[in-house]
Amino acid sequence: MTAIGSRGFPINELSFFQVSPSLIPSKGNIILTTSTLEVSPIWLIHHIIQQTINSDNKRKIVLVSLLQDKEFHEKQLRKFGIELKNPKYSSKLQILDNFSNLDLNQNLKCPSSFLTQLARNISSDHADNDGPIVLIENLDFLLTAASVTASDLLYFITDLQFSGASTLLFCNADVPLIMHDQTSSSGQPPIVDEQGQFLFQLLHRSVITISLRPLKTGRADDITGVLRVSNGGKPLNYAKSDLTPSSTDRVLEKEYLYLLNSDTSIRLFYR
Amino acid sequence: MSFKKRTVQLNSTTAPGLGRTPTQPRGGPAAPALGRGPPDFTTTTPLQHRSESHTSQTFSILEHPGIRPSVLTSHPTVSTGSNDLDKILSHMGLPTGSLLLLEESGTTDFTSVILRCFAAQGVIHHRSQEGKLGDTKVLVVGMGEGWARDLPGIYVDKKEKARKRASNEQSKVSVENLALSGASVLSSADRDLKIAWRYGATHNSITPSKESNNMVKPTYCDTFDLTSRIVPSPNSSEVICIGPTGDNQFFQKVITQIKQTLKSVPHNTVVKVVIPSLLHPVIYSYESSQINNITSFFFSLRQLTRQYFNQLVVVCSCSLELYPRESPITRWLEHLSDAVIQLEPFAHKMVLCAAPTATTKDESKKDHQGLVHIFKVPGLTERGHMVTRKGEHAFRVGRKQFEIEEWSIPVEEGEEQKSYANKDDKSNKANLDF
Repeated sequence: MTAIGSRGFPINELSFFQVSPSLIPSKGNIILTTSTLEVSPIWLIHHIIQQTINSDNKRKIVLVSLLQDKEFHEKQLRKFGIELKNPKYSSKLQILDNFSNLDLNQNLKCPSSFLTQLARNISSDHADNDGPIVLIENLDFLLTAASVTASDLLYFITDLQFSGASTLLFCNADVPLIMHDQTSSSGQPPIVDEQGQFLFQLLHRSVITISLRPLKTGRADDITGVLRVSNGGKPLNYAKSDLTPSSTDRVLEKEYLYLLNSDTSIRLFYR
Repeated sequence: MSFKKRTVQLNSTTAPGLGRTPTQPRGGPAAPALGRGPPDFTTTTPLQHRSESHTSQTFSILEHPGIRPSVLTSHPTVSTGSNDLDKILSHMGLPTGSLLLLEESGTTDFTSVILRCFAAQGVIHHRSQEGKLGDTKVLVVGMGEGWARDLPGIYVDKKEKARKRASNEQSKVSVENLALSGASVLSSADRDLKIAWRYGATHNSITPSKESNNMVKPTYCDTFDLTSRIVPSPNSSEVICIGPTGDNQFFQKVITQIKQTLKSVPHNTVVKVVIPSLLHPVIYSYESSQINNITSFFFSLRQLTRQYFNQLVVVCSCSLELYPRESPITRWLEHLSDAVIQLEPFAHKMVLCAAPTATTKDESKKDHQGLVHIFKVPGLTERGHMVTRKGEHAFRVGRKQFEIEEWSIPVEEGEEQKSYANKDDKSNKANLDF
């Protein structure tokens, strides 16, 4: 392990772009983060919120929560120094709790109406030119409901893109969820196809893909996992120059090892 | 000095016999330090749909005989019925408001031992607190009354039993006793004390240890005799069985039943939900095992655990033979659970191979029956910590306990010693030659 020798650097110095210090893609663009069962991306969500809220970014941040309740996010954000009781933060950050009141059988009978309502909630009171910054956790969970297909979710994301939102999606990419099991002879449920198709299409649409994975060698005391930042399928400066932070900017492709300390401080190490 | 002061204060204001009282029920990993901080918590208003009497509710729930604050986050926890399982969950118990998924590969049913102990513990707590505050309710999903009748009883040490009987007899007034009373005859307690004094265990050193015993709550986790049955066998009000209906409305029925129970009980009642052999084809219909139905059931359970985060605990077991870990159903269930632990029993042949070596080498080291893999730990995994430990623990079901120990591939001691001895011989010879 090469990382042990160096002391690494704090997470605040992490950047996804070579020039722009922002962690947020430009308007209408997507960052896709995939993770597995062992390594939850929650800390990355909260870190990105903390960095964006403390920068002089005027755009509103919307966190859409599907597998955690609002209290959990509030409590965790408090550890990152964001007290939502404080109007300074609450005016900038909105948490849409879609976990507590979601009835999978009722609400998702007609997925398109549910998703349009969700898109409307996200882009409400953002009448200004700058669209919101949207972070969505576990959106792919909706695919387990019988009526929801990958294209439903992709249409929803396209809607968000058109409304000018910068979207950060956090999805699960465990191998059993996206790949057919070669050993079993019985037919796999179509869920695998849907999830695989969803992620595959997102991969092409996003400007950056981030993957969080555990170490292949198993658990270690001094390393939590591997964070890999790489180019997505869509080029960064594909659109006109005013849509990107800087038309000459590039994605800073790197692989890091990261360590979550119990006091929620996070350190990164070059690999 | 300061420590002493703190104890006194806490004891006088809050629960008697409790040393630590957390101010924050769902703290993070750094919460032990937070928990003792100034009561900043009271100034912040309680969160919306969770009950308004937030702090008082936490305090009263800690008086419950089966609740102890977690050593990690000081969130209230209940015992799973096995001391060792409590330990590997890192909280010394299962935090309330969480969902534990026990997976088992192979055709054995070791998880049922844990589930039975978990349910039996609930029955015992219910009996100790019946009609008072701090009650416990047990719900069993998919099993009939027969399952409840098979719960194990509390383990009674034979020696202790004999000693109790002896002391009972001694306390009875008999001619012998009266005759001896004139002479300076010591009661058994005094005699014990004298022996204790002789070995340096004086009166003073005994009392604090008793106190600390109180602090860790002796009622938290009992030892069960797995060969016995709980007496009297629990009735339908103690263990509520939700029998299988065989149709796809079953999950909805279960959720409404759990909701009803939670609504009908006071705030400091712990509700334990036990779901043995989830997705077993005998109990669950074909429709139920469709991924959309089972995930929506688990999603509803997850919603309930978050809504009643101080009261509800769910423990669920499933066999990996039908739904292996590589299948999307199991993976989604794991994503929706707070804790995931897998038991992987050794093949029968392997146990037979291991048995003779274990007995000849070390009598005290009994052979293990399988491996324990940890995939998710409540509170830690959801914050992004990586806790997966595969094959680092092994389990054994004894008469009293479901034991889990740290495990590693044993080193063949005999061979190593031999080779060392040979080397020593050679080096000695070489020295002689010089």
